Amino acid sequence: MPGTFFGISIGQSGLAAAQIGEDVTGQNIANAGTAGYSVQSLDQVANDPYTPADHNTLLIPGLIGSGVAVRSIQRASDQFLDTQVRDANSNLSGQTAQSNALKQVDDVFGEPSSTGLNAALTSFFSAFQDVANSPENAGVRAAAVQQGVALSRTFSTVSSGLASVASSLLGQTAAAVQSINTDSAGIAALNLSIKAGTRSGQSPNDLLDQRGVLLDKLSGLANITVQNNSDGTVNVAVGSTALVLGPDSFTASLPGLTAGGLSGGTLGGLQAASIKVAGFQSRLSATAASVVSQVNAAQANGLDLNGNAGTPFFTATAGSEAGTLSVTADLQANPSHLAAASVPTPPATFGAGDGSNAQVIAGLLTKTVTSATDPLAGQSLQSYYQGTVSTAGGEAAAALAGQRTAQAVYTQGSNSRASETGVSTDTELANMMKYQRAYQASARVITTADDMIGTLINNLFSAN
Amino acid sequence: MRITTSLQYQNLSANIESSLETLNTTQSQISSGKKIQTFSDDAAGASQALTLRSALGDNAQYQRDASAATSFLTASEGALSSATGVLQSARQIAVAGANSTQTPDSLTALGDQVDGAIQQLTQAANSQSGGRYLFGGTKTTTPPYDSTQTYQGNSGAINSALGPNASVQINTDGAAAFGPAFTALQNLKTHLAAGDAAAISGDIGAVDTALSALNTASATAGAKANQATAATQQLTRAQSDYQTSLSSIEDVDLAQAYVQLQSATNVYQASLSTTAKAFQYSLADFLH
Repeated sequence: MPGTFFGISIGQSGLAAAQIGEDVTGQNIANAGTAGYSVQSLDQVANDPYTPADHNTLLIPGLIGSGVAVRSIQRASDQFLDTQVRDANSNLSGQTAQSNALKQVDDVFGEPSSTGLNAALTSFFSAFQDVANSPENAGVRAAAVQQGVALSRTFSTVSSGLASVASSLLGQTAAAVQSINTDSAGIAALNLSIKAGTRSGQSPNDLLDQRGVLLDKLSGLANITVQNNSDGTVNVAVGSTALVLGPDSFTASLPGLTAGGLSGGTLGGLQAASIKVAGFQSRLSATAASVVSQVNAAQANGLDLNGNAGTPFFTATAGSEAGTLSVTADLQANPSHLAAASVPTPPATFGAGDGSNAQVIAGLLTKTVTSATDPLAGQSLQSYYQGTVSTAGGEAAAALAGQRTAQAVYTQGSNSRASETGVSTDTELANMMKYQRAYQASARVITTADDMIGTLINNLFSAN
Repeated sequence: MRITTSLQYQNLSANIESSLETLNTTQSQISSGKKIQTFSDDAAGASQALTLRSALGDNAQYQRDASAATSFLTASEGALSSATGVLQSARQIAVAGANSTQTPDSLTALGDQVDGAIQQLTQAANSQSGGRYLFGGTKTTTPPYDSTQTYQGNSGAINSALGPNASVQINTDGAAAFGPAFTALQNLKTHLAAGDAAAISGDIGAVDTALSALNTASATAGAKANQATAATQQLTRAQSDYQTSLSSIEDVDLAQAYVQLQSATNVYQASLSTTAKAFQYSLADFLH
């Protein structure tokens, strides 16, 4: 048979549970807008009956529980949704980094426009056609030389634009590696605290949320895999490169990550974009190199206004032709040295009115390059350049489409997770009422039990 | 699905962002007039646009070539037909000189007239267009015939492109066109001075041969000038075709774009007002 004050003790356990419930609700409402916060709830159970069932079955009518206890405070989390969201986040960040870089490349080329390299190439070779129409005209020759200067300036502008995209990618890459190491260290430190908390038998919910935020952030930087350990800690790796092993973190480097199997995240996207940008830089330089070699070879095949063999028109540093292309000082000073005429047979019959070599040069833009050693072999300058720009544009468009798809996948996963683990303020307000009423009712149980005991104490005596 | 505060916020902000992006795209298309600004807007369309722009550039160049060829050929035809006129009057002089009634004085007068004809012919042979001598082959900077009517030019060809793979020789061989005429007139002058009536009669035939050479050259130049003019017309037509195609690829259809803008504005306004209303009420408003 339970003791006299049993009712008061039941009421008291109800008060305590309602109090904790109110506190948890308050915490949930306070953190409704906190990034990474997972909604918490009470794991509340009815206490066991006061007397073991088998001994007292004859003395009492039945078993009455001894109130309520809060076993733990649980955190809503779904490890599978976390993995899904983080994978989607890696993919999205990678696609975004690529898309941004390729969009910049696309903007640097700036085609189609009347000021791009395509227009500059057309104007330059077109100027030679004008020379072919009146080779003895000094003004027309000077104009062709100036178009050459304009062409080299356009090449240099595009080239430095690509170089600045490449160097910005390099800077972003270094920053991403730095962030990966900072976040890894943060996760390792949290692992240590979480391990201690877990050992004491509690669930360190807010630390777990903080670690979740860092893992989400890290998943945006690289394609991480997360492995949960029984002591509450996690191991984090990029491919086969470990970043965090329980309470320890390792400083990662770009070559190490790449060798380990870096493929996604901002860092993976930056790496892929860097390779593509380098490809466009080399295609641009190949275009400039081909302009130099073809125009200079044609110049050497012709005669200038004075009947002398043509001298080189362009000069450029081998390997970085696009950035260093310029018209030779000789041609800039003497447009008459432009070899507009072909070598006649016999050479003595040279005439200043011959513009046939200028016509040959004018045709170089659309002439198929036959030299097998030239990167342009099988294509003309125009088709090679247009192919380069089309590829850049096509890749930028594809990356943007990839980014949109990845965004949709991420949004879907992120919404599922927000639905699962987020705070609904209306639910919390309803809970608030629930715990308030439970508290009031438990208090009433105590006063009623008190009244009953009072009846026993006071009225028993007065009856005598 | 459980609707939580963060879910609601995520969705509303994503929707505002995407409707603002659509609005911005439409606005920039209208303000620039172009629906393709860079390749990534429409890679296939932009590629076509780039090819068309190159074709337009080439077309403009061919039009300049054709116009240069036209003026060169028209000038050549003019010079050749005036030379034909000079030679026709020289033929009348020869016919008159062959007449047995001529006195030594009148023969000298006829000889002076032939001298004048030679000067006129030299002038025609040394005609220029845009500072270039027309009949000296590729030696366009020196007069083809000097004061002794010796040919100074060469037989080089000057070609002009009237279109892709359509190159045409625009200069007339000065030695072939004017050479026979000068020889015939020099001989006539010598024979008039000598009063050799029989030789003068023979010169009439030589003048006729020279005339036919000039006529042929003149007709050829005229026909080529017509070709160049026709090429210009074709190029102009092609240019407007290219421009129409380019515009249909690159340019914004304004009517359609304004409708899109209106719709994008409506969507944006709706998403803003929905967001404002979404957080207007909560259970807290009804708890007392």
